[in-house]
Amino acid sequence: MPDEVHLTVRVVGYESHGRARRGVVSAALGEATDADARVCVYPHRNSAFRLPANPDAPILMIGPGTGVAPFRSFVAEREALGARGRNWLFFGDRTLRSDFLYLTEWLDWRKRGVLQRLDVAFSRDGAGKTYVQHRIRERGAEVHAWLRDGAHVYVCGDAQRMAADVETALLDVIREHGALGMEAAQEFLLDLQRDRRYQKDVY
Amino acid sequence: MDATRKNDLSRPLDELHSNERLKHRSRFLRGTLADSLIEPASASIAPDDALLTKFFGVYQQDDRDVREERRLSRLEPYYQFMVRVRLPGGVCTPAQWLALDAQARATANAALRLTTRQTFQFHGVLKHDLPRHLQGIAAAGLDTIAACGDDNRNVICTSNPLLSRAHAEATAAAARLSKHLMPRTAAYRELLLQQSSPEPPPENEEPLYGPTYLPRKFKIAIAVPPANDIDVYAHDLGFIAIVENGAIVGYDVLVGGGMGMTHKVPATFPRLGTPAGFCNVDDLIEVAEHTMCIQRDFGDRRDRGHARFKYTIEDRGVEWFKDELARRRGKALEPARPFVFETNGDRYGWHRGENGRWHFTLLIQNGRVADMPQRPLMTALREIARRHTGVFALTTNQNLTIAGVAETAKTGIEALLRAYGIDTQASALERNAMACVALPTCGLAMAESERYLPSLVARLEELARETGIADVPITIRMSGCPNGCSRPFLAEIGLVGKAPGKYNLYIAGSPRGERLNVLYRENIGEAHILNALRPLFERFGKERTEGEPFGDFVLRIDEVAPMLEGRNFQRVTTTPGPA
Repeated sequence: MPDEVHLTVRVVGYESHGRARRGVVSAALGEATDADARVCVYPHRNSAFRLPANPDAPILMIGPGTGVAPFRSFVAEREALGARGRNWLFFGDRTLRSDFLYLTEWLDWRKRGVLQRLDVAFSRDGAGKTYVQHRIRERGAEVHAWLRDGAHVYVCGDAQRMAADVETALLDVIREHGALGMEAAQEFLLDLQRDRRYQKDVY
Repeated sequence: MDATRKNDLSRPLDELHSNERLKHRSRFLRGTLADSLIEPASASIAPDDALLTKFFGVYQQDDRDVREERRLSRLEPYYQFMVRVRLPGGVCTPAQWLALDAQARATANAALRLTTRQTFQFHGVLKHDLPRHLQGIAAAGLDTIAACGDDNRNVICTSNPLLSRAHAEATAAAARLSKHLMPRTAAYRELLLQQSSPEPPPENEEPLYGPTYLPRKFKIAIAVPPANDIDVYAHDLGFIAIVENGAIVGYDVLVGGGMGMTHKVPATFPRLGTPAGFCNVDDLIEVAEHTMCIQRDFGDRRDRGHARFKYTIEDRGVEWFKDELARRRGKALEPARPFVFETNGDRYGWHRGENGRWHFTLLIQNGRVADMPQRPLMTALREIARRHTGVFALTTNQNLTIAGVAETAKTGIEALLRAYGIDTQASALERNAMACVALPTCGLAMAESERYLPSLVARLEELARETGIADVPITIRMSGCPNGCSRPFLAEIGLVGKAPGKYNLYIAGSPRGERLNVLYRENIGEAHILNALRPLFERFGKERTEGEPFGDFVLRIDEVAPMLEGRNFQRVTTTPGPA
C-alpha cells in the first residue's frame, strides 16, 4: 500500500453546556463512509517517530486506541523489507468484540510470524479495568529482556493519561528487572530517549 | 486384510479422516483448549479445539448477519458459543429451570431454546464467560457432556414421565442409558468447569470409547406407543417400549435411522431405522452398549459423510448386525413384538395422567423461550417455575409440558399464562410446525429457518382457509440445511434450505413418523412453494376421506410415489423448480 494513505479516526464525542457534541473534523470524517466520498488530506511528516535504521533491532509498539495507526505501517514496512527484528505490539481499548482495531490484520501477522508478540488489554471486558500499562508490568521480565537486546520503544496515542501511565510502567519494569533505583531507572530511560530508542507520538 | 473393513477402526490412523487423528492426539479431548480459552486477542478458540469442545456440548459459532460488515472493519467474525445441556428424557425440576433461566440472562443472550432433541440450548455465550456459564449449569446438577460430538448424544424419550408408570420407566431408562454411555474424560471438569480433580484420571479415561471415540454422532431414542413424538425411526438406535399391564416388559429395537444428507450427493440420504428384534427390559443397556460399540468398531472413519450408523447398517445389512450383536451378547434378539403408533405430534393443553395429576402442554414456537414484545414468555415461565411443584417435560417437538399439576393448581397456571399474554390458542398448522435454528448462528445453514417459518406458516394458513382445510393438522418442518435437525424428511410437508430464500419441497411423510417423504419441487422460493401446494390443498379439501392425513392423501392420489428405501431418497427426479 505504498501509494495509499489510511486514516484511523475515532469520532470525538463530549458534552458541553449540557449538550452532546461531536468533534467537527472527526465527525465529518466519520460520516464520509460511502465509497465515493472525497476527503483532502496531506501527510504530516514526523521525523521523531521512525523505525530503527537497523532492521535487526527489535521493536516494542505501545498503541492503544487510535494510537495503533502508525504501527500498522511499521509492521507492513518491516515485513516488506524482510526486516528480521522482532515486533511486539501492546494494544488496548474498551472491548475485544468491537474495538480491537485491525484485529484480523494483527492476527494474520502473528500467524505468519511477522508479529512475534501481541498483548492486549480490554478495559470493559473483565471484572477489573485493565490497560496496556498493566500488560507491560505483567510482561516485565520479557520487556526488560527486549530492552537489553536493543529494542526500540514506541508509544502512540492519548497524551493525557496513557503516555504517563505507560512511562511509569516502563520505569517500574526497568527498576524491578534491572535492579535499579528510581533515579537510575529515569536515567536509563533518558538514555534510551537520547539514543532515539524511546519515541513518542502522543496527542 | 478384510476388504469390508478398509475404512474403520482396524485401519492405521493415517489412513483415516483427519478428525480421527485429532481425537487421538487430543489426550481425551484436551487439545490446546487451556491455551485457547485464555488467548486474549481473539474471541474464538483454535479450530482444532472447536472440534473438541463439541464433545462437551460447546459449539463455536458466529453471528453471520454481521460477518461481512465486520470483515470490512478488519474485525474477526462475531464469535460466540452455543451451549447444549445433556437432559435425558427432557426432564428438569422447577429449580433447574430457574437456574438455567438465570444463567441465560447472565452469560447468554437472555433466551433458552428447547431443541428437537429435548434439551436446552443457550446461544451467544462469549468465550470469557464459558467456564462461568458451565459452572452455573453444573451448580444446577446438570452438565453439557456429549450434547454434540462423536459420541452418544442426549438420549431422548417420549415426553413426560409423570403421565404413566410406563412413561416413568422409559424416562428412567433414558437417564440410565445416557449416564452409562457418557464420555468419562476428566477434561470437562479440568478445562471447562476449571475444577481440580480429586484424583488423577486413569490412563485409559474412556473404557467404552477409546481415544478416538465414535466415527460420528450416535443418537438413541425411546418411544412409548402409541406416541411416536420422538420420531423413533429417525435415530441411530431406536427403542419402542412394549407395555404389558402398565409396565414396560421390553423393547423393540430399530437400528440405522438418521436424517442428515448432502444435497445432490445420492450416496447420502435419510434412512428409517430397521427393525432388528426385541430385547427384555433388563437387557436395554447391554443392547445399547454393544450396538454403540459395533458402530465404534465398524463405522466409516475415512468419510464423515458416510460415517453414521445408518450407512454401516445399509452397507452390511441388518442380518449382519443381528449376528454381530448376538455374538457379542451371547444371545440373539427375540422376534419383534407388535405395537401401534398414532401420532408424532404433541397433545396440547390440559390432559390427565394415570395417577390423576394434570399436565399442560404449551406450544413454544420453534422452541424459543424469550421475552418478546407483548409476549414475555420467558418471564411467564419463570413465574410458573417459582410456583410449580411438579416437573417440566420438554418434548422433541420443541414444546413444553408443565407436568404433575394438582387439580387445585390448574387455575393458577392458567391465570399466570393469561396475565403475561401467553395465548394458548394456535392454528392446526402452527401446532405441527417445527424449524431448526439456522441463521444467523448456525454455521451449516444455507437458508433461513426459525426466523422465516412463522411467516410462511401464516401464508399457508391463508391457503388452508381458502381451501377449507384450516382445521386439519399437517406437519410442516423446515431445516436450513439438509442435516435435518427438525427431522424434515419425515414431515407431511418438508422444506429444506438450499440457498438464501430457496428450499427443496418434500411431501408425503406421515403424521405417525414411520415414512420418509418425497422430493416434490427443487430449489424454489415462497411464491413457488405456495403455487405448488395450492392445487394439492384444493384437492385435499374436496377429496379427502374422513380423518385422512395430508401425507397419506398425496400418496393415495399418486401425486408422488412412496419412498420405500432411504437409499433412493435422492434418486427421485422432479420437475425442476423455476430458477
